[in-house]
Amino acid sequence: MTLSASHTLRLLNAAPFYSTLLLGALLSGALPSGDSAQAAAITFNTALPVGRNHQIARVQYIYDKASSPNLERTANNALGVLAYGVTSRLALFGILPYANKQLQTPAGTREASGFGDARFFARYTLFQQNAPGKTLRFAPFVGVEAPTGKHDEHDDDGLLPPSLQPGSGAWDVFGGIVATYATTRWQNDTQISYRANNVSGAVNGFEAGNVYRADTSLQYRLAQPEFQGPAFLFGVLEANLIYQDRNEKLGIRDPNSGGTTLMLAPGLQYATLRWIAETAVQIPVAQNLNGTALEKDVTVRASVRINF
Amino acid sequence: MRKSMKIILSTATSLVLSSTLALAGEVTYDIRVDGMTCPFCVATSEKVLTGIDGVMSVSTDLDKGQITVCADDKVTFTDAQLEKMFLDRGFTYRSITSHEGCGAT
Repeated sequence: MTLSASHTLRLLNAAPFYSTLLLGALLSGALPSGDSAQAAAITFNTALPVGRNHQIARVQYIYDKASSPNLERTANNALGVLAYGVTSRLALFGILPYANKQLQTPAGTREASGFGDARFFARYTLFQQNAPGKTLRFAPFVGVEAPTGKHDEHDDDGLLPPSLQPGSGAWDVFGGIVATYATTRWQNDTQISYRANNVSGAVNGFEAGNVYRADTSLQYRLAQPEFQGPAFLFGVLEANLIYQDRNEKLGIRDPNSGGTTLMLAPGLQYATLRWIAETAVQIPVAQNLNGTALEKDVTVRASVRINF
Repeated sequence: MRKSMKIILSTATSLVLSSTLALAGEVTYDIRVDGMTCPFCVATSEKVLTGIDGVMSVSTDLDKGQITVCADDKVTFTDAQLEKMFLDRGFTYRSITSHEGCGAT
């Protein structure tokens, strides 16, 4: 008789625990903050393609906690991401964040909520080499962060500090390159990027330090569960090395800001033909921060990507 | 008893004939595509193929880089058409082969 239903995915001769793969296309997000747009890696981007006239959507939740001896800042972020393939090589991404941030001080709690700064970027596949079940791609990307979020929120104690504001009030630019080597058994994404903050100038006398970042991600297929049709379960391990320049206040460098952070992020991805669910926990394993800058405690990410 | 045998034989013959007629217009195409590594890659490739009139089913073997299409014999594929189709999705079309019927892949 005929083949089974359409849209069936078979990995012939692939034994669950010995085959691998990598996952699929999409978008993760990009940037210094690690939000994702398209997908394979969870905490940054991938070079896998978005087909011409195809769209991928991603909704991501990010919980972030940082602290110093006297302060604790927590943030609950929701990000909506859309990716569109203009051609098979050129993809456009848009990211809109919403954040609730709290800062606990000895004097009390300060808080702000609202939509943050929207990000837009383009990624172009400069090089690709395809083979059966394998691909190698290099894709530079460049984008801007627009000052769409509020940056002058107040409470009873006055203007909230920049790290609590939903938006920065300034234009930022960023760029980098992401490389992906993918097989049906495993995938590696590696990215280097640079972000120039406050290119439009200081806001309320504040200018955030620029960010240099290197990320890598390994995804390995652990299993091919059969109970819900074709699907793949991946184990993910990512590393994020982030260096940030000192911030400036009224033209003077803040000695209690900036520094270097190295994070490891174990995670899981469950990928089907139409959607991916994933989660990762970013754990700082080394921090060399300046002065009394807040140290990152943990970041938890969970997201769903949908392929239209 | 003899009448019952006649009915059974007649029914079986009808089933075989109808099955043969149903398969007569079916063709299996095996399309080799490089660069597909992920479920989303498969989904975007299969989506465009299933949208073609006359295509009845599509399945993919990622390890082999092969998409198998069952279609009626009115469906035709050209190298140029498939090259553009997969290029638009970021993959590389390599070759296509076909054989009659969709039962044996």
